[in-house]
Amino acid sequence: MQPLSVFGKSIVHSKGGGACAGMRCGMVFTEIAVSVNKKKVLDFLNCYEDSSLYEDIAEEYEAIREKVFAVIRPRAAAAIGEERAWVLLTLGDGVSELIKALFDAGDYMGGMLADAIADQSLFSADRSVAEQLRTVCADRKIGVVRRYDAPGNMPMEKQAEILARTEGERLLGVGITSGLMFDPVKSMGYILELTDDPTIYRAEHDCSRCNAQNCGMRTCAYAE
Amino acid sequence: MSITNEISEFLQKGRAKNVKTLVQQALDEGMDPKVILNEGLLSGMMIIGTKFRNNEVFVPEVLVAARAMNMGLSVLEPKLVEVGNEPVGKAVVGTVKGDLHDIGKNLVVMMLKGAGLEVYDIGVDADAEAFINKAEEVGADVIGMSALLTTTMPNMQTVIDLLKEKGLRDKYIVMVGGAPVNESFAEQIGADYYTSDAASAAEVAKQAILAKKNA
Repeated sequence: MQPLSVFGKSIVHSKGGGACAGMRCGMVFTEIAVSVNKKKVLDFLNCYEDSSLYEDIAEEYEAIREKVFAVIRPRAAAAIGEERAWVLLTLGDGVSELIKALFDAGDYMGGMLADAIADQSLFSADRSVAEQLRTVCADRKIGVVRRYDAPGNMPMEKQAEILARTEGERLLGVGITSGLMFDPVKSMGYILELTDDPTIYRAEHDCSRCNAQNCGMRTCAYAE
Repeated sequence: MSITNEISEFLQKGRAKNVKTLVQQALDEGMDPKVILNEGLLSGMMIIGTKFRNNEVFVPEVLVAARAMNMGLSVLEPKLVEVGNEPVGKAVVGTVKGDLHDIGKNLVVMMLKGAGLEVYDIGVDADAEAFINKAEEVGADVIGMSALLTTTMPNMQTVIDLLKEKGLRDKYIVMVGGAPVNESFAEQIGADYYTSDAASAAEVAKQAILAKKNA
């Protein structure tokens, strides 16, 4: 596990009133810890220790990880309402350009490694933001009952709502395609259902409630 | 062992530098570039593709083999141009409008090249006009479309509808693929083929082109 950066402060920008005291509150996270697990990346690519290619690919992994970490810019924005919170995070578009350049050069293994490392980085950034939000929720004496991601357990149409609520375009430079996909591609958004009970905090992605059955990152079976 | 067999063997092991050296050696010995391509590089990729479909090897083996082929081709391509080598066929491949996923599409491009096709990658978020204009421009045999979202799958239909509107539908072999796509969806929108993985896509494209040319 190699951290790219450490937890840092969040920039709070309140909307229409006192600092985070009103109905709606927005914030930007600019210092987000990102780490990747080599085994997870190589497992995702079906590259195991008993493979004759393992040593070569493991060595290549290190070089590609450096390249990925040099271009990712993890940033997130969140908006907290009375019953829901909207969260959007992105790694920026530099990593998409790197992946494309590797594939265009015929370095297919490098491209796949970069893509898998970027995915792991995004999920790691997601956990980091969820932890920072935990503090925000604790300060406001609220909790999180459930998380909704598209297309897992929420319609894709909600991605436009996330972008609008978080002001993602202005604050993070994230756009959305006609197919309701965030651009840059290494971005993610979700909605949190809030509760008055601050002891509950379920803001991390829950594979058991996600119907993306063939997802290579799945950690447990779909339970619904 | 013949030099083309050696190229094929090293390619299957992903030994890019060996492949490049042997391709150069074969050219220096006066071997026909087409023979080096077909019996060395493409033969090796065909074997690795078959092994992948049979679950005998996994994605990394295919990736390093394709990279080795690419290295070999970098030496061979100028000579192939000189002798006027004709590819098996031409394919225009892209991810449909609204969709930015490109890994699956990139793997299909890689495998189509490995099957001896000339491939034109039009990238992601490609609209119907982009697919058709490129296909018309290069004289493609195949139009291959990828979509990873249920919200973008309908745009495959848009491409096929525009082909019909322009009276071009029968001119092209239309192939579709991507996580939410299946055989029944392909049939419903009027595509010719659905394949579930990149290796199968390459094999189906090659066979479909040969069948069309021989019809």
